[in-house]
Parts: sequence; structure tokens; C-alpha cells
Amino acid sequence: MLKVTDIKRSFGGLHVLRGISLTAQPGEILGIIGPNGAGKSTLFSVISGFIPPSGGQVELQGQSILRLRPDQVAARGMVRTFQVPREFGDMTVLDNLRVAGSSAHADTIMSGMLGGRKAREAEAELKLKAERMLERLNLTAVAGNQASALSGGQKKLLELGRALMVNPRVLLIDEPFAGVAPALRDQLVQHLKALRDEGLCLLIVEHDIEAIMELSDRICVLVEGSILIEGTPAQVQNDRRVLDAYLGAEPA
Amino acid sequence: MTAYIIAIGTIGLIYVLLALSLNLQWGQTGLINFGLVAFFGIGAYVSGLLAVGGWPIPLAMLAAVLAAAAAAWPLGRLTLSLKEDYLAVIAVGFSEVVRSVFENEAWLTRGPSGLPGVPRLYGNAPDGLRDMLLFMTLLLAVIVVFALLERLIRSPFGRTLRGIRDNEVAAAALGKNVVSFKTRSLVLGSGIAGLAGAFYAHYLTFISPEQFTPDVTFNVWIAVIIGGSGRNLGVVLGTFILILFLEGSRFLNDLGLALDGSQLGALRFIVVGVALVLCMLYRPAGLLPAGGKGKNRPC
Repeated sequence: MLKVTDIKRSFGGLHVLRGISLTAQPGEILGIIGPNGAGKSTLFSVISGFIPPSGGQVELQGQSILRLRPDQVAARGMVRTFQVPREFGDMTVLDNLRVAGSSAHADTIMSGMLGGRKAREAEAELKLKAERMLERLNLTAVAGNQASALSGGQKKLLELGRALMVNPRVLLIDEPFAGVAPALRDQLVQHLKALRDEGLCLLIVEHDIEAIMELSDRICVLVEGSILIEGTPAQVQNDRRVLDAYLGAEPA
Repeated sequence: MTAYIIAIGTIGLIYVLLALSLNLQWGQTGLINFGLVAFFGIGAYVSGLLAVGGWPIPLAMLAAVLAAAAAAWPLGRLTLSLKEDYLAVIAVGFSEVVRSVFENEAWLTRGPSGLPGVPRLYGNAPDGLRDMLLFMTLLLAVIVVFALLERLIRSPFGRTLRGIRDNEVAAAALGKNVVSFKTRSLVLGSGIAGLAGAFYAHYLTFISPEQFTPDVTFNVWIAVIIGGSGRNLGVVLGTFILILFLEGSRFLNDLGLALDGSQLGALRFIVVGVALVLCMLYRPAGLLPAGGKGKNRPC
């Protein structure tokens, strides 16, 4: 599904990514962990087309997506979320979802100004889809609220819902549990598991080790721009090098 | 008196078109267009010159709309793909370039002394009726533009513009071609400004470069900010308040103030400036803000 080969990225003399390779399959959650500054978010930005890599290859379903813009990557079925939620703050929660769900090809000035029955039908369908998403994510009660007024956890849910409105096959989720209250955290875990079971391919960057161990099928540990170890949660958890990287323990 | 009210109403409606244009670009899309007057001027000159050259006025006006819209396209492609608000800087420069073309390309525009003898809309109608007909036509145009923009704002296209305004990176991540949407908003708004310019030329029958200075741009900005950016009804109200201030100061002498023309001009700036400051203090989102509640979006 997603194949990342030897991705490198440096900013000036600083090598943030030093040749990252990984693959992810449908129906799988790949957890990506690592200390601050390991290059996790940069890796997401490169994969999703926001930052061009200095070298390497990214393939989605066998096709290179290296030179595509972020919106083109999204149109191919891979959508990312952000560490700090980027909601459309002045818009309602429902409209946040509707923006994400409308097809960029049909959204023209002409159909907007003069659109007849067909446009109305598409609009009604979109509204229904957005309302179903709100229901699924337990956000129906805040559908009409301004998105900037949501709690941290609700914003994370909204980001997830917005990404899902694009009908992605691959989701890149950046720190889903950061700033999320415990009550919502469990909900979020269930949502992510359900998405995997529906056949989506999920890449999750997370600092909450407990949550990521519970969620992931495989885990990549990123340290200083390289993959230190890749394996099942159990393998990673018991690896001495991981503990060292995180806790800075004395060299083995 | 009726004639005077129609005259003010005509100028007011021309400004309403400009304000609707800016509200699409700034209020909906977040584009900082400090060069709005350029497209107003292009509309006026294109329609004026073509009509002087013998084109039927409706055709000349259509050409003016298309020319103003076409002028916006390269500007959008060049600046909107850059990060941050380069459009603001480049657009104001562009509007000054356009004005100096009006001033210096005398073979085409008759230069600084201006273009006289632009055919008047309904020029053959009797005196009193002529202005009324023009006013009604302009009013109809404003209503049509207003209605179309309202539909657009409520459509998926309008929602995407607001999404881009609120968070452009997120919009891109969700599959929206940000540069394309912004450019289309700039082009459509500029076409509306061009229409305003065409009406202006065929109303005044005389246009000159000094009518297209950046003051026009900033007056429209003030109207949009006072009225409440993001909501078309708000900016219509803002425009009428602005025109009231600009025109109302004319009558101050009747109240016993003995001011000459330049003093009145300065007083106008003061009055509008004070109104803007008061608005920022007490109604920062404008008199009729988008979304109903007094939101405070920095401008």
C-alpha cells in the first residue's frame, strides 16, 4: 500500500531524516515512536508532500507520489492530520466536515452560483455523510458550534473525521492523544482500531507509549533520523536500545 | 434634491460592487488585496476606451469585466503560490503600475489629462430620466451580483474558500488546491471590480488617472471592516455608512463651519478615521458580522 524507500531530508547541515525505509499494509496500524526531534513529524510532512525530500522514494499503491502537491497526495487517498489541530476555526463543526468531503472537481464557481438539481442533490448527500460522521465520532451535539471552541480532544476527533471525509486508504495521524482528556482517549483508541478493522492503513506518530503499544501491529522506533528498530510491540518493548534512546541510560 | 440623492446612490452602488468584490476576496478567502483599485481602473478604462472607439456600451462593459478578471489571473498565479501575504505588497504595487500606465501611455489613454467624452449609459434618454435609468440598471446589477455571491458563499466552493481562509495548510492536506481556489476568488472579485469601473466610466463620462489612487482601495477596505467582513449584507451597510461620512461632510458648512475645500477633505479623513477606530474598539467584527455573534477576527 505505502512504500517509503531511503527517504533523506536535511535542513542546511542538519540531517533530520537519514534514510528511512518502511512499508505499511491495508488493515494495519504502524506506530512510529521516538524521542523529541527524532524526525517523526518531518517524515509525515515528506510522505504527504508538504516538504520535498533530499532523496529517496515514496510510493502509494505502486506509484511514485514524490513530486505531487499535498492536495494531489490527498486525492490519491492518503491524508494526514496534524500534531497541533488545524481546525477551520471560524466555521462550524459540520462545515469543517463538509469542506473536507466535497469533491474539488465539482466545486466550481459556476456550479456554486448556478448549480441546479444535481448540485442540490450532491449537497444533500454530503450533508448526510457529514452527519453520519458526526454521529460516529459522537460530535453530533456540537455540530453547530464554532470549531475553535471545541476541547482539545474534540478537535482531535474532528481532525480525524475531516480526514475520513476524504475517503482515504492511508491515514497519517500525528499524535492523536496529545492534549486529549482520558475519557476521550479511550474513545479515540476504539475509533482507530475500528478503522484498521475496516481495512484502512494507519501510520500513527505518538508519545503515549501505553496507547501506541496497545494499538499498533508493528512499531518503528525513530532515533535521530534513522530507524533504530522495527518490530511487534512486544519486541520493541523489550529492546534495550529503545530504553536507552528514551531514558538516556548508560551505554550497554 | 432627487437628482442629488440619485447621484449619491449611484456612487454608493458602485462602491457596493467594490465592497462585494473585496468581501469575496478578503472576507471569504482571506486575500489581502491592497490593489483593488487597479481592477476598478482597468474596468473603467477598457470600457471607456472601447466605447469611445465605437463599441456598443454593453459590449464594452462586458469586455471591461473580462479584462479586469484576466489582469488578476497572472497576479494570482505569481503571488498566491508564495507563502504569507505577498499579495498585499505586490497588489498595491500593481495598482500603482496600472495607474502610471493610465498616466503615461498617452497614445492609448490620453495621459494625465484624462479621457473625456466617454458615452453615457442611456445617453439618448431625456435629462432627468437618464440618471434614473442608469441608477436602476446599476441597482439591478448589484442585486444580481449580490444574489449570485450569496449563492456562491453557501455553495461547496464558498465553504472551501472559508476553509482556506481559516487554515490553508489543513485545506491542502484535505485535497484542496489552495492556489487554484485563491486565484479563482481573486479573478472573480476583480471581474466584479471591473464591472464597477465600467459603470463609473459610463456614469461620469470622464475618467482620469487621479481617480484611481490607492485611496479608493482603502475606502473600500474601511467599508468592509466597518460593515463586518464575511457578510455581504454587512459590507453593503458599511459602504452606505462610508458614503454618508464622505458625502455628509459636504454639508458641514451648512452647520456654520466655514471650511475651504482642502480643509473639508482633511476633515473627511479625520471623520472616517475616527469612525474606523471606534468600530475597532466597540465592534471589532463590524456592525453586521458573519455568523451573527460579535466574533473578533483580527484584520
